[in-house]
Amino acid sequence: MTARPLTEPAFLVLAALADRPRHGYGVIGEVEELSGGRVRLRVGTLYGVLDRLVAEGAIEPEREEVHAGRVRRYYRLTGAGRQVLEAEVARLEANARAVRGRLAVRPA
Amino acid sequence: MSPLEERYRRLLRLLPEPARSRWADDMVGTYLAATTRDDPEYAEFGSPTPADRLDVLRLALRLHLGAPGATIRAVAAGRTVRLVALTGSVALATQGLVGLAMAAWVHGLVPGVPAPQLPGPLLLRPEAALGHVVDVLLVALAVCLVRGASTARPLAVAALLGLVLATSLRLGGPTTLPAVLSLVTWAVPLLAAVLVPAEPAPRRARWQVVVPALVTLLGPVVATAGWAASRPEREPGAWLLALGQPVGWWVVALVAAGAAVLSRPSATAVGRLGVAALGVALLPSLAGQLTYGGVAGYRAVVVTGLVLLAGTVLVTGASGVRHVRALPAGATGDRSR
Repeated sequence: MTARPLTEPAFLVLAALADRPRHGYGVIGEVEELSGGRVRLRVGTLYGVLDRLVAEGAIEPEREEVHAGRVRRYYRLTGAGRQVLEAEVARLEANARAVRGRLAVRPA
Repeated sequence: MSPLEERYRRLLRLLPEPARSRWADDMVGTYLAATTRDDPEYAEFGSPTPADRLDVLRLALRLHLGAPGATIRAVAAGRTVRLVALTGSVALATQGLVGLAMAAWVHGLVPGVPAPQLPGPLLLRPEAALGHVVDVLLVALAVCLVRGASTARPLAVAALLGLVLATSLRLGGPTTLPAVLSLVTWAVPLLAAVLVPAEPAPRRARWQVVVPALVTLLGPVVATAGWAASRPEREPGAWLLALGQPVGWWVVALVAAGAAVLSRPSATAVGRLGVAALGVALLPSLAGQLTYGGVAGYRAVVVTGLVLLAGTVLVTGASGVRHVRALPAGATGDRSR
């Protein structure tokens, strides 16, 4: 699995799946809510990210449900995906702490 | 199936297999859920928006160029585009660095090195100034491509726009045709850089950086030194004149690279297609040299180069396509790429 920082869409998609499995449209709504309305994933972008995260083993299809005559696929975070997300959160928190420390120092 | 669903399914035909089989149903469901949530009747008269079309086109392009889950053939196509982007951009950046160094010398900006004596005042024309900006962008682009920085894409777009603008400033002059033909050559690696996703150049492929830089840097130096040492009292011959500039050495290097990949059965489809693609890119620039006919025999040299390069392109291209067709049609087993 990649050790590079996650892109923002990938980070938010993993975060959207952290509490429970979701289908594609559910992920879009959750990402929008998590980002305070700032990020609204386009469907093509979402499936590009899902495709990559599945390939990297960070998420996996969980089940399929028939909804309005169409199959709806749900995705869930894997153990590896949770580790990636936790590592990214720790990285962001460390950065934020460091910057807060700098901001606390008033320029002379 | 509603008309809207039919339209989305038609749009998703842009996606290559096996990604289409894997994602199309799910994507259509998500599209319909997103578009008909507030207005169910939209399913009857609605249509994918231009943004949706662009989004799917971008995803299709990524998958065609070997994004995770793409076919082995798509991975080969993506690596070829990456090879063209990297080697081409490094060659252009090296040429740009030489240009910047020369400009600094001429303007007396190199510490300890006196500027050359010129007959008149030195003016910095707008196209020359723009050319220097493009040179800086090209150097930054090459560094970003090697390091896999995501800023490579906007830099490639900026360099391309700068080149188009610089070329447009030369329209109408005596160098219009060669300038436009050169633009075509330069645009190929820049467009390739726009298409490939950011990814650091692998260590084992550092030759893709070193070779084009050395060819660009050393070729004219060696040719000029050879001419100065052997025939100081005479005008440069047509061959030395052709080899005294980057285009000439790039042609020599590509023909040699073509011979090398063709002589090695183990050479990959990517190597063969990469040589062919770079050769196609170089053909217009070389053809533009036909407009410079001042030195006797120069056109014959250029025509010889054109024949050699076209032959290299045809043979390596055909060989590359044959190798790609020999690859399995399925998805790559390397799911972590």
